[in-house]
Amino acid sequence: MPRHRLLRTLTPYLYIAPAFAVTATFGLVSMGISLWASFQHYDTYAGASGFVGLDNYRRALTGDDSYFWLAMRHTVVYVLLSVAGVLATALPLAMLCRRARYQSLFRTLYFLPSITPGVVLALVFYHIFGIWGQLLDSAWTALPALALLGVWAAAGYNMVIFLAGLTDIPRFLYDAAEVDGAGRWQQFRHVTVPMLRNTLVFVTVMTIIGSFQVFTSVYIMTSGGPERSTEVIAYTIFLNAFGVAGQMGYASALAWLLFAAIFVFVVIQMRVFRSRRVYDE
Amino acid sequence: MRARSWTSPALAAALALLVLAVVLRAGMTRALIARVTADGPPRPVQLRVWDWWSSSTNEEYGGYFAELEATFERRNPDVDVVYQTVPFSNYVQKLSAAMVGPTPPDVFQSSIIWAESSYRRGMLRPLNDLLAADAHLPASQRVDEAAFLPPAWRHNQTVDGTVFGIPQIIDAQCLVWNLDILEEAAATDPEIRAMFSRLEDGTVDYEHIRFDAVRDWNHFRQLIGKLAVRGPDGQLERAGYVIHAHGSGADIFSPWLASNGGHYQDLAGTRALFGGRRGAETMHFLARLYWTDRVCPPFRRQLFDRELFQQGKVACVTAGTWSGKDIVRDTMGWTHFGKTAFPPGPSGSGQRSLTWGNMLVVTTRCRQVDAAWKYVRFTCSLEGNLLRSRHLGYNGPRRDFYDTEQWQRALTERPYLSNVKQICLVGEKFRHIEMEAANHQANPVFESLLLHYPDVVDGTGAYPSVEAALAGAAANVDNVYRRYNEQAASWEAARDRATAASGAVGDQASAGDPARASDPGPAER
Amino acid sequence: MMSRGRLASRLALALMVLGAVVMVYPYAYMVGSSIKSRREFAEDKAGIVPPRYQLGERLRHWRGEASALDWPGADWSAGRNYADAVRFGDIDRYLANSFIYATIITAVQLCLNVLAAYAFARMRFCGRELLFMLLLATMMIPPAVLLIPNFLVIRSLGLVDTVWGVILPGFAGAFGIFLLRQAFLNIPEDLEAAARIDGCGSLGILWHVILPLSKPALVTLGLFVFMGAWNMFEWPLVVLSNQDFYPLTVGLSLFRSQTGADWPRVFAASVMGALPLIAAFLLAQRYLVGGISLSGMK
Repeated sequence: MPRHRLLRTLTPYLYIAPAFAVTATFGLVSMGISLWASFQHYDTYAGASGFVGLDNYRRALTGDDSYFWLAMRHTVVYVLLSVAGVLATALPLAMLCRRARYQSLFRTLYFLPSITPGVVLALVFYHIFGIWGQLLDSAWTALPALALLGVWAAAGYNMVIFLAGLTDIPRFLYDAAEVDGAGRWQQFRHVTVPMLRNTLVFVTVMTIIGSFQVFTSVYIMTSGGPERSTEVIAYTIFLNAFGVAGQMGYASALAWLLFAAIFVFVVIQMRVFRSRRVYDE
Repeated sequence: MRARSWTSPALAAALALLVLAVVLRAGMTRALIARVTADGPPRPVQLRVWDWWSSSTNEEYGGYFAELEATFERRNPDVDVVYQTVPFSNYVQKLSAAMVGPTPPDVFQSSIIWAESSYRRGMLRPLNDLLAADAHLPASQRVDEAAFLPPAWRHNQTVDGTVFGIPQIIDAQCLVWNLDILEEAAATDPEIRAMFSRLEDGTVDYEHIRFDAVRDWNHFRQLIGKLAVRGPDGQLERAGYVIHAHGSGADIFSPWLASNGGHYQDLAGTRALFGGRRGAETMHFLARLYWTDRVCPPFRRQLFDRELFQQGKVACVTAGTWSGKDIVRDTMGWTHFGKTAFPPGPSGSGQRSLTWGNMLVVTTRCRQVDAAWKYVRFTCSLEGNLLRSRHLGYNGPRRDFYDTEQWQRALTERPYLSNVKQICLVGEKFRHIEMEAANHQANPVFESLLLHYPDVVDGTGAYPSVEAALAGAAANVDNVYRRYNEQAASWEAARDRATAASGAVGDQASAGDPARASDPGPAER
Repeated sequence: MMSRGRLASRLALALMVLGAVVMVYPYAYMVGSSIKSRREFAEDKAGIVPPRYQLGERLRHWRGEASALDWPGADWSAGRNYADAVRFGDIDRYLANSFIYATIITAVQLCLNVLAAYAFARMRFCGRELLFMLLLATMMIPPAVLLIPNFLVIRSLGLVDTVWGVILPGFAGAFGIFLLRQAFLNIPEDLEAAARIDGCGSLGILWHVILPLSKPALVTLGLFVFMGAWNMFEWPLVVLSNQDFYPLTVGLSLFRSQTGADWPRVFAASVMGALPLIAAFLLAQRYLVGGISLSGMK
């Protein structure tokens, strides 16, 4: 009967409709509106007040008092420090955790920062960085200090991911390598790292995407200082959207430029380190 | 490890208790619960009042609001006043969000830094008509221009005389001196002894410091140099004056600039004026206090000026006349400090400070202007001023406030208030346009100059010279002002278009809500 | 002489313990500082144990010398800052609000995600691949970029400064749909076929077959979503003005005023803010850790 058939064809759409409505509205439609706003002057209260074409983008990229490039520079430095820090801490930690006992206890302890709100961590570290030699006072140490906070907070989470990746490496590969005369370090280089390739890519990409958006620690701890050294792009966007009259359009333009930057970074990353099957079966 | 069964009775009971506690305490059910637990019928008129003063930062504010609310509600039994605290640093953003939302404030305390831009955005209701209708009231209840000291009535009106706020306090930036330290030094130094005022019989009055205790900048340097105490190894044990370079920027710089005859911005807020000779002189003066005279404690983000002052580690600090009660609270009772204005610099004349008068405003989305105006008038009347003085130790912006017995009593109980009126009277207009954006441009420059002054002077710093740095910062702030004024002009134009259009239809409602009418939203484009 | 393996294990354990101390130190600092009085915090920022409990100070006091017990506030009770945070800072209201937001978002998102994931996993319909790609595309957009756009949408919908405005964007998530689709695809189709023979419709299959078998994925996702909703900061910061509706994170940032803050009280509020999630996490630890490894293998 046609009614049944209609229902049968419509059912899948009915199933996905609510979820799709929400994600599309707050993903795609909102990006569209933001694109429209980036061509305007827009005030949070008074609304849109004039089409300006590419003016906001021009100002962001070439304006005298635009901090876009400065903020991008700082953000990229932060991202690089975060990635380096995460790889340097989480992987060794995971390997240590495998060798040590009380694994689940350690997993819990190390995971604590991941389940603590970022605001709480920022408030505590604001003082801890003060105790550890005024790290937030100097333009040289402030941004690395924030990166340190980010790495510390993500150590447990990434350690657990690496743990899972390590457990999936078959034992016989190590045995075979040992038989072939490979030492510890060579085993690491030739067995562990290749087998962890996918996990490494995953962790790196997630860290890049996450650290590009660092905001809470800057907002709570440094407000962009000292001397603008911790001004990151998400903070600049926030400031221009809500702290300056009528510049929400400009902030939208900045947000789109940030999106483009992240997109480019991730595409490069995925191209260079394409996920592949590492061994044949 | 076996997961605990989710249906065990203990866990279920705990969960149920948790849910109950959450529902009872959550913000969403607050109004409902208040209605249920209220004694007596609900009052028909609800007045939403916003402020950043909060009992969570100082409990005395709680007492003040409690008495204010009780007195007003007793006199106006049909009105229910509901307060909301909004943090100072987020105020504009929160205001913008609320004014387009379902629960906008009816009345709020506006800092001078948001007031004019809020008015130009169309958030504030002009008050001239309400003021005119009050002409029959006794003087102590009137809140028109004649009732206030001139410095208080600067920030609350436009150039053409439209009043959009009524001042409820008057504040000024001032120098606060630790009189314990001064008294100790005065025992051996006649110059410091001369800073104190004299009693009628000629003896030194160690409770009060003279308003003009410091003659000029050079005199300030000398005095501070004497008050700084160095240990045997040359390290500073007690500092003379503290400069908080991190993030305070303009708040340190501008009062000294004013005392040097300069200004941060012009009166109308269209140009930045700190980039000239006077600004450079001021910056040199401040930086030399730190780098040459070495009378300041090290620059530390977490060492706030007032904290150091309260711990007795510094003799003099820049603070607001409003901070007296906070010092008393944080030190749990210490009142032996005094305030002076800023002494004149080489290009200035006379003692100076910067004043402002935070005001109460009525929003354009106020649902009952009558009740709102009564509240504003009450809070800014002489009675309201006395209330604030009683709870918070503030001096009022009204002329008649200083004739009251209560003020005389306050002067004896809190001797640190003695110079406050004079300091307010010599105050110039505090800068008030787009402060967050201007600070974003200029404060890092001030910070750099203070932190790396020797390098800048040598020519190896981030800037070729102090003068060049300030000129560059001023140019950027000019851009901020220019953009703001363009935006404000376009808002006003849009509002005029909207009122013209709705005027043709004769729609009263939209005339009172012009901002809504001027924003068609993306869907209609 | 210990075997090399055992020595290595001991060394690894030692290093892990060192690392654990580094992890836990800020929490210890937070708890310790939350017990200090204002004066104690100003005098001794770095210590974990409040001066009035320190052995050295107590000895000095007992000997009659000047000590921390002479400071004003030496009789500060341990729970005083916590009580103040509740009384003056309404921290319990913010906790309750966070709880409500997180619960509603988790419940609704689980429902909507399950429906959508099931459709993508098991049903055939025109445009399935395209729509799924679109969904993945939204996952690519970082939240910081979406802050302003979502605000503009909420503003157009007239939901600024409302509870709905805060929770609406969280009602569905591409990540969740993706995760659940993976989990559903792993369930053998014969079970479904059997259920269908027994006369179950799609919803019945969902309820009786799919959901029970994908419990780990559901719990994992639920915990992720709950955590994410609990920790959200910028979004409610931007959308809300009415203090009554602030979640915990925004409420915490309220404790700092422009002129510094009552730090011990801020720490007390922070401890109260961090505890609920830690408790929830400990309760559900088994599922959560298993789940992360699931999403790690991409």
